[in-house]
Amino acid sequence: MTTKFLGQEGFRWFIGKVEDRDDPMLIGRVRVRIYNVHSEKKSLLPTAELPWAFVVNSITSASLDGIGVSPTGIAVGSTVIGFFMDGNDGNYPVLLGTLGALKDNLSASDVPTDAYGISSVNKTTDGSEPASAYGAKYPFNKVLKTEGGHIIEIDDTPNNERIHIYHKSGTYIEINNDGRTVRKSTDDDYEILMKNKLVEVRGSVGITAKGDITLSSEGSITIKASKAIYLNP
Amino acid sequence: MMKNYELGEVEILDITLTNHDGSIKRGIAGQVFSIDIFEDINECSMYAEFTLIDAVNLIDNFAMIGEETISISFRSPWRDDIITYDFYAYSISPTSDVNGRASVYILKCTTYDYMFNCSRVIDKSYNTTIDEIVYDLVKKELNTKKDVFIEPTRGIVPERIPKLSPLGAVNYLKQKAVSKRATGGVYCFYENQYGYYFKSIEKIIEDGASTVNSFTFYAIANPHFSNNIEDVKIRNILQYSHVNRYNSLMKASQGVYKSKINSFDLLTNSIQSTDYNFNENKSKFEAGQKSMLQVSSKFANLIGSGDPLQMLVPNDRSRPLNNLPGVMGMKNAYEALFNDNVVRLKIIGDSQLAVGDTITLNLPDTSGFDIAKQTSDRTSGKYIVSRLRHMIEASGNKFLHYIALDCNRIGMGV
Repeated sequence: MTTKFLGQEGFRWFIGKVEDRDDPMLIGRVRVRIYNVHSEKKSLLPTAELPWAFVVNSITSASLDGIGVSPTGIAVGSTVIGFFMDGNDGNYPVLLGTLGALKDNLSASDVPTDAYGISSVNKTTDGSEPASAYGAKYPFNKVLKTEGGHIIEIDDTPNNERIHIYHKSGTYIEINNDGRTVRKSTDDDYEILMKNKLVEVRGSVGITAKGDITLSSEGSITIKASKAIYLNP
Repeated sequence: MMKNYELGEVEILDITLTNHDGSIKRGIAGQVFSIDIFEDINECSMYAEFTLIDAVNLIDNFAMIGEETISISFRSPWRDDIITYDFYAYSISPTSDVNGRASVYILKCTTYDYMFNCSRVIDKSYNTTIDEIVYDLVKKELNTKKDVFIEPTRGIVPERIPKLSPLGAVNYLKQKAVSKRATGGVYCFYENQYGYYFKSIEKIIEDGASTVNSFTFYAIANPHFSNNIEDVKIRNILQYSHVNRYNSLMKASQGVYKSKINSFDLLTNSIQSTDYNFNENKSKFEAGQKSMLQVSSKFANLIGSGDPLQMLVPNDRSRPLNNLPGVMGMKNAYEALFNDNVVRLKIIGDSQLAVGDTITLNLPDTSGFDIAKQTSDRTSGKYIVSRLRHMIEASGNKFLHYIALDCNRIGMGV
């Protein structure tokens, strides 16, 4: 070990490609094949013999006692940049971040398309469901898209500001530029309140169902109307 | 045989320059003005410089292109064995004219192994002991024909050689090697005329102990305590000076008296500390001359009462066997003590002398008051040759041979 004074013996940085993220310690470490340090040939240096690289979290993450953002965003194949904590010895890699880029044919990139004007969500409007409010322009849309297909968008595109939380099943919540909220669930929807609920609607309310509607109470049910109550069997 | 030679003269048997494809060989003893061959206990390879006074325009006529080989064989007149060095002349210095009749230039030379080493990158991983890795690197990857002497290391270490040359990889590994001895040992990797050595300083001292009596040098003009006056002439020290001597400030700043190794465990974000204290560990220092006072307990206590030199090293407890933090304090102190007393000498050449040898120096008492006492007990004693430069120079129709040496006093006494 040539390192005697960690942090005072130069900063040796590197780039590499992630080959394994199944950290047995479950703390976000990944195995990286570091360019010009590790052999390109897996026959000479198998993935299993690459050192585990530790990952740096954002300062917005406490990284303490189970609090903070989980360091699990890196995928196998991600290009990463980092440094060796032990300088020239090169045994303790620490990752600072990932490097997105264009694909080889320059026709696509590692950036989620939702960030630059191509929505990856193919919404088919159903019944009274309004059309998607998507209209993002680069570089205003902050997108978190996972490999499973979930998406969170915070879109600051001028005059089309929007918040969108999308589940891969098609369930989503979208708040458009005007504040209009669309909630859609592609499966059952449960809402459980442990106390009271007050719903104040300053417009009309319409409830339609293709199946039965049942209202039940362990107390009484009161229906009031200022003008009339119509029952159309 | 000795009567035919002047004191300091060396018998040059051959100096041959061979061109890049081996088709032309030429003896160049007549062109050689001086030869310097360098060895260093901290260098992985020997190197040399041949200064030529060239009246036949070898550069053009021999078509020197920096790929020539140059071989020199010589011996000191009282030695039986002939020593041969083979080098690559990798560079030619700028030339200067001598009255328009000859040019003077230096052939800078390195070894075959080092030349090959520069074009070789190690691209593999190991899961064995460091001594076995070193053997593989030097014998198989470097493919040296020279002997390799390796001191066994402790523990099986999974090592990924980070795309270094074979010799660069060994240099990298020597920092990580932990000897089987209790203190871990301070490893050196060097080359001399006999081979490559991957050994701890402690082992070098141990190995040299058996030959120490045959390498004794005297710094007095007319010694009367030797029965062999010829031997004394040969072993005469022509010049000497102390490069380092009892530098307690250096020792304090390098953690000889006290240090703390803080090991930052990346797996748990925690610090483990290992304290080193000279007085508590002095009995563990190996292979030194215990009679040579180098550090007093009182002073070590005094300086050791202050804040220690704090080192901070990365660690990962999930990895197998990392002994270093536990022995770093000892190794650090041992290395500093080894470099605490260094003498630079010029002596009559000896073709057998090599870096890593243990020698005895009888240095004079410089007080000037005690005529009867000509040898200083303080400075005389056993030393390790840590750097060596053979200096062979033309003198008329013969060659004289001197050696410049840096010698580290074998101390560790308390």
